[in-house]
Parts: sequence; C-alpha cells; structure tokens
Amino acid sequence: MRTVFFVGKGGVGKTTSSASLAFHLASAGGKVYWVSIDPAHNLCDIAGCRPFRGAREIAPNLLAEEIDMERCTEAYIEKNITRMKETYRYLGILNLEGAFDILRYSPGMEEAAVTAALADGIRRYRERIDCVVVDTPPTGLMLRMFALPFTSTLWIEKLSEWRRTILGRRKTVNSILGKDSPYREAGDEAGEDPVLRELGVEAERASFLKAVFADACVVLVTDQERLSLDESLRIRDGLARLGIGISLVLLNKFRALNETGKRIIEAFSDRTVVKVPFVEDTADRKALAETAAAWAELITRTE
Amino acid sequence: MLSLLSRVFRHGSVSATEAELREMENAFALVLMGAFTGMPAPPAYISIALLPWLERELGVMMSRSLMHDDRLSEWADLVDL
Repeated sequence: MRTVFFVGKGGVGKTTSSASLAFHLASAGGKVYWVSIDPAHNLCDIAGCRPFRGAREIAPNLLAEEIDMERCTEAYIEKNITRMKETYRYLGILNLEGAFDILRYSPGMEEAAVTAALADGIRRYRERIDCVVVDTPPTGLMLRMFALPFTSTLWIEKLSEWRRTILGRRKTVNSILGKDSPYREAGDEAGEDPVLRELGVEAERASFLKAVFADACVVLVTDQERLSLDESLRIRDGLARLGIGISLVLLNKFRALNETGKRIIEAFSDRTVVKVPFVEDTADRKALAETAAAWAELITRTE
Repeated sequence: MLSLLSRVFRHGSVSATEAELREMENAFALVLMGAFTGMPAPPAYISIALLPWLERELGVMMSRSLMHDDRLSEWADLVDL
C-alpha cells in the first residue's frame, strides 16, 4: 500500500492535484482511499457531491473522506471529559465542565485529533486499498501534524520510564510495609497500571504514524509565484528536519516558465519537477485523471 | 511489643523512599500540567489522556503545593524529629 501526501502553500492546487491522482489511479483499477485532513477541505466540491460524514465510495474503486477537524477534536475531548468526570466525580461542586472546556483550546489538540483520525482511517482501509491519497492543510498546521508523532514519542518514552520508576518505588514500599503501606491501593504492577497502558496506546499510534510518514511519498505542489517558492523551501527544510524527503515536485497551473519557475527547478534540482498544466474545469473527472497520467507513474516508481 | 517495634523500624526504613516517591508523583503530575504552569510539557493530548488515571498523583501535587512554605516540618518529618 502506498501513501501519498500532497503538501504546499494554500491555493497552489493541492486538492486538485490529489484529486487528479485519486481519479487516475481509481480509473486504472487501483483501490484508492482519498482523504482530506485540511480544515477547509473541498473534496466534495471537486468530486461534485454533497458533503457527507465518514468515508464513501464516490466513484468505482474510489473511497473518499473529509476528516472534520472540529468534530474530531470535540469527540476526542468528550471521550476524555467523560472519563475524567467519572474519576473526579467528587469535584462536581466545582464547575468541572467549565474547567475541562479549557482543554478544548489547548495548543496541539487539533493536530492530535486529526492525526489520530488519519491513523484510524488508514488502519481501517489498508487491507482493501492500494493507495492512500492525502490532501493536507496549509503549511504551518501540516508541519505540526508531521512533527507530532516524533515529539510525542520523546515524551512518551520519558514518561513511561518515569512511571516505571514510580511503580518500582511503590513496590519496594509495599513489600516492606505490607498491609500498612499507604500505596497498597495505588497499584504497583506495570502490567496493570492504567497510566502505562494509556502511554502504550499513544506510543503505538505515534509509531504507526511515524512508519506511515517514513514510507510515504510526499508530493510538493507549487505554482510560479515567489511566495509559493519561499513556502516550498520552508516545507522542504521543515520536513527534512523530521527526516522526511520530498519525492516529487509539481509545478502546477503551468503555462510558460518564468523566473520564479526557473528558481524552483534550480532549488529542487535533485528532484523530478513536473510541469502540470492548468485544469480549466476541476469538476471534469476525466480531465483531472488525464492530468495525473504524466506523473502518477513517478510516484509508483519511487516505491 | 515486638510487632510494634517491627512496624516502627519498617516505617523508618522506607521513610526516605516514601519521600522520594511523593516527590516523583508530585513532579509527574506537575509535568503533565506543565502547560498551565509554564513548564516544558508533553503535547496536551497526552496529558489529557492520562488525567483520568492520575487522581492520586494530582492529590499529592495539591498537598505538596499547600505545604510549599513549610519545608522545615517536612524535613523534621523525614528525619523523625
């Protein structure tokens, strides 16, 4: 199974390019899961269908899904608020709902919820698809999403280590004090500790995402605007810091090469840069699929 | 009598470990709350996933913060004065 991420500055044509590849591969008989993790997604606009929840087959062999960032965040927080309310029931006199509301706006919650939803989607369909095509959000959010499993892993490893030390100390105290130990109820077995179990779940998810990112093909979409070039370079450097390389560059909306276009080709001279003509009608699925015919093979070749 | 002595000695032998354990539990909860206290903190979603299971550690953290100004009695407790 191949995973392809389309990255680039807002407005350069990431969604259109991802649509081109999705329609092209599906029309060639490949099973495709086309997913948008962009909060301002418009898969349905391009596919010409009404917005829907979850994944739906919008064409033969083509399963599409728009991951709703707000709904994912809400669901993620709700699940934890319910668990916290059960644990801290005695705090009900305080405005617990209000206190937990703060969590909704904690930095990083959106990235966490969406990457979790993406991981779940890939896991759900990986047995029956050949290619996952991901339309990503604009650069800042996209880079934070890519970085999340890497930073999370560092924290999870340290917290797990720390937790094991705490459990070890508890075990020492319990074994010496026996029934007099104040830690008798607290639990000292690593295999039964809910904190370690939660950390394990998060570690597994982070590891899965890191593997997805490491094996993924990243397609950088740009046009011949100076700002697009600047942002493309930032994306390249940002991803390189995470050990993720760009596989292919699409010089989108191409009519004639200008100075910025030349600089883009020069900046990405170690990568294949494909000039992709402007697609007049993005609702024309056949035209979209044909556009990708020139470069889809380059993606399968980088496997 | 012997049983009482045994309990006293056993408690004495782990008092330093218990104090260390309390500090570790306090710090573990404090780090997970780092976003609220200005400390380096793990991504918020990790803290949120762990919070439902940290009732004990949060209790320790709260009591430690209440005792913050009373270091002398804590030390006296540790050395059995």
